[in-house]
Amino acid sequence: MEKKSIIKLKINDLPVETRAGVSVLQAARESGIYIPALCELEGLPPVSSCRLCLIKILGRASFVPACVTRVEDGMEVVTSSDELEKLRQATFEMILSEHPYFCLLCAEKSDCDEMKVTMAKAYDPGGCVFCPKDGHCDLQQVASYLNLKKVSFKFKDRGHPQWLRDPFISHNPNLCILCGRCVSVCGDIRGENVLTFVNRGESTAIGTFYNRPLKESDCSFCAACLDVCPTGAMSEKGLFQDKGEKLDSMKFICTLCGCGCELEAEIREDGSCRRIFPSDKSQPVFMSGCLRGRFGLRNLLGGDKLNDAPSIRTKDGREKVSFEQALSVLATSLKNVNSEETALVFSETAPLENLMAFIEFGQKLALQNVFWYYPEEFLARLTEFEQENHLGFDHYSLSPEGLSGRDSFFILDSDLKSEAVTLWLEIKKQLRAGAKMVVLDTGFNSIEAQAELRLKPLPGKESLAILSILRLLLDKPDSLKFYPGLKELADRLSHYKPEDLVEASGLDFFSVKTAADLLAGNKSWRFIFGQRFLRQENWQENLLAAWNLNLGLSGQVLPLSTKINERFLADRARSGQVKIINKIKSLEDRIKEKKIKNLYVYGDLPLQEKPEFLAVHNISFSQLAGLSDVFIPASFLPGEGGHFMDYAGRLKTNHNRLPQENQPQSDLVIFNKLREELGIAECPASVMNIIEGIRQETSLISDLKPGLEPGIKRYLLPEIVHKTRDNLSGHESRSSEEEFIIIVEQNLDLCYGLELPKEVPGYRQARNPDIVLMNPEDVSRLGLEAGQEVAIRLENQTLVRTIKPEFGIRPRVLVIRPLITDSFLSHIYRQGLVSGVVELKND
Amino acid sequence: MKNNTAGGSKALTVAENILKGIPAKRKNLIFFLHQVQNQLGYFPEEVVLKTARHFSVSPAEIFSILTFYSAFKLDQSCAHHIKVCQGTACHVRGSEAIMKEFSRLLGIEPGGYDRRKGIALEAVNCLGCCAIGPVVVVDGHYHARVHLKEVEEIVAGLMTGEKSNGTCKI
Repeated sequence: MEKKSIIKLKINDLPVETRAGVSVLQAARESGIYIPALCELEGLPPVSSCRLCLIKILGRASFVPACVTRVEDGMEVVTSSDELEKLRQATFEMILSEHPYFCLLCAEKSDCDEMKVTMAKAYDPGGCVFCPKDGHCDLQQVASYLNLKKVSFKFKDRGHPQWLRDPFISHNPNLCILCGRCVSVCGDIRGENVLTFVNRGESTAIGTFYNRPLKESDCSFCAACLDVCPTGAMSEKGLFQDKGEKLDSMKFICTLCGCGCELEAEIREDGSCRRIFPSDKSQPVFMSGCLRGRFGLRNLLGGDKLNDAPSIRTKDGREKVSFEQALSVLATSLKNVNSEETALVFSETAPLENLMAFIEFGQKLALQNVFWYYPEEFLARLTEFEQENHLGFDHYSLSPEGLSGRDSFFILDSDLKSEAVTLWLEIKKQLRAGAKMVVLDTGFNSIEAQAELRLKPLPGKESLAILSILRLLLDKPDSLKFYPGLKELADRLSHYKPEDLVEASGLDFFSVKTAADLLAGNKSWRFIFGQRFLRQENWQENLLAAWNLNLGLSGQVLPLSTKINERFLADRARSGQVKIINKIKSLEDRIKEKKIKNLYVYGDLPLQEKPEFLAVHNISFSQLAGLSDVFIPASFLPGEGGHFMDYAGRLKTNHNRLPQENQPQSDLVIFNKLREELGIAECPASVMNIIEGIRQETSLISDLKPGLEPGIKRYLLPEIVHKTRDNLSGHESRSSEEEFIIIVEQNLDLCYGLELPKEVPGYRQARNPDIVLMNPEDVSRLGLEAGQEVAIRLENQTLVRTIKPEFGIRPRVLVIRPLITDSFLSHIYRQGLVSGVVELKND
Repeated sequence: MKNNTAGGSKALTVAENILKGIPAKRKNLIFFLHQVQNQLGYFPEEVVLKTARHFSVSPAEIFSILTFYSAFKLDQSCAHHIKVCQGTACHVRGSEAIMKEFSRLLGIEPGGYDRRKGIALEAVNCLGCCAIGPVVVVDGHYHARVHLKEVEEIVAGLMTGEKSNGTCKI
């Protein structure tokens, strides 16, 4: 870190001390001096388009915008004078000449709630009554600073049509002041590049590619544009200002991916959820949260699917019962069975203390069969690799000091934007500060356009791609660090011409050479594995190749777990405390063979085979709950206390909400009651003990490098020596025109067993699980069209998918993103790469 | 629809051929766009998507550029393109009357086009050669100091399909 010198200046005769490189506007803001600004926002590159922050600097001839003027030692700044305010007033009036301004001047505004007079006056969107930003609008703040009494220009209605075709986000171009904040946050901060300025002059507007709706523009609906818009132009669809509404606020940790974002929900008196937004609003530009948490959960919270009563299955269907009844049914059935025929399975979404209590309870009850359903085995595979080869990866610490603009990132098979948006925001920040990024991904990757270099090898040939880079690096003297095994590795790889290796991986020589140059020329490489990197048949080859490259460059790795609590549970699995079940098929087979008669599921499973007795203890009444003999609503509702662990091993605390009347019973209480009923109460699960244990555990995780034997560093030999040049590339020989390699992506839109695209209106438009990405070349080669439905034959099953042409994947490759709701999908998901045939759909 | 895709992929081939000769550097983007405009006359969507991928910029950004500069066309424009300068210098030398004359002879409103005749009539602001105004550009050929009487000649040339090479009487 360079030493930041202290700058002393005077703002309005007030001595101010600040750091070098800070803008005058920021310095003024930090010392409590308000300078009106509409386009500047901390974190965004300043563009100085609104011209309201003009200030006078003594000794300079003209006024300068404060947002783009850096502080200098001895500077004397005047932020307000008659002349400046006159200028501001004039500028502001010009801005307002195209923005309905009656809400700023109207004398009847104070009575407006009852009389609704401004509806008639203020044009779109029906006056300030229906303006989504009334009361929080930056224009109102500036108007009150300037004490605005009149606007000299006649209001010009631009007459743009509103954007109403998208779910969740609406845009009213007539309220837009063209400050560019949304364009900047969309491109510079989020790397989405969906919003842009279109046309010029007076017809300039915010638009998208060919002015398509957002849902057709690769928008991920991160809602960052809503957070930064100074006016009501970008707004959450269907949401007006909250005048007079009594709202209860609830903070919670989102558990829908590995990020564990801290979100806040506004709950109406009727229990419905008004909106969800990131709870930390101090930096609107860098707010976390995404489509899943902000809009997906909004509809589920307060909906009936999440607050169902306990129920049991009867001859005529389901019957709602009390907690006590449901518990006694469960206890009775658990009491009367052979412990070998009983299995307990959980998914990772519950708070850690609940999971631990469940595991402990299960171990007491059914010693052998307590499982975590973990089809990806992502971190478990990493551990297996480390144990088998007696080595340990150096893990990358994600502490704020751990990241810097001098880092270089090598992303392997991970679309950070959809898998870990908070990490992506951090990395994007470093990219702006000069960091380099290389993306190696066989499938679709929405961040690769931001990369210095993107490598798209053949699916399953990641290891060859990395080895071919290594092959070129070995030719460069001293580019790889010396450890035992380097010579053997060089010998083995030198059997192949670099060109042959490159060709077999499906890359072009130029890209691989550029990659080798980049790797050799930059320092501090961070390798980020996505779970797809290991969710394929030859994951060990991939990991081995990555190990060698990482070792040679003295890099560090970050295995990106995309599930909440995954790191914690994988750690427990390593120490043998938690057993993993990875194939839903094997569980179904054991149920069919009557080896498992009783199943108690805490969370959700894509299980279709019902055992003799099935108990489901889940937050939502999911598909599985519909099959169950007894359903108990779980209490790990957002808002319930508890701890979660994010992808980086950080502990996140969910604060307890005030107890409510119809709140379901805490899971910990339920486990204790079950213990009592089953007579295994000698070891009551003390909540405090468990939390304390987890705290200590996590401090250990973050202090220690998780590798088992961190000392052993040697190169590993890849097993390609026996392969001839011709069969280096295996997949090339395909029998027919319609045959494709299919990449099965992870889909995180399954929330406690509920399918968000099904449950949340509009969600499907934003993220459709039933699309297949296909290279446009293939689309036209097969005579297909965008939006057409095709049947994809996989093994002996058929999936119907809608075609979405995508230049970002290779020809002859398809990408599907199924929601894993049954054992077949779970089966192909586990394989990661499958081959399939595209057929026209028969109606 | 089939025909459209076929036409589209022809355009794509043209664009790909141009891309081959241009390094994927951002500074070359506008140059490339001009090449496509010259050879194709417009920007089909696939070409924009392909371009975005080649230069590692977002399709939206290219769309922004295409809509900003009047030199680029999003629609398949007409075979003949008449630009009449309406900049200040040309204006004082009577470009408005020239525009009206074009409009009258062709039966096309200023800024409009006639697909059947295959002619588009465009008013442009300053072409940067005020010294030779009023300026009319027909299919890329500059006509300098255009007199009202010449308009008929130019139009007749277009109608008969004679390629006008323009005159530059300086």
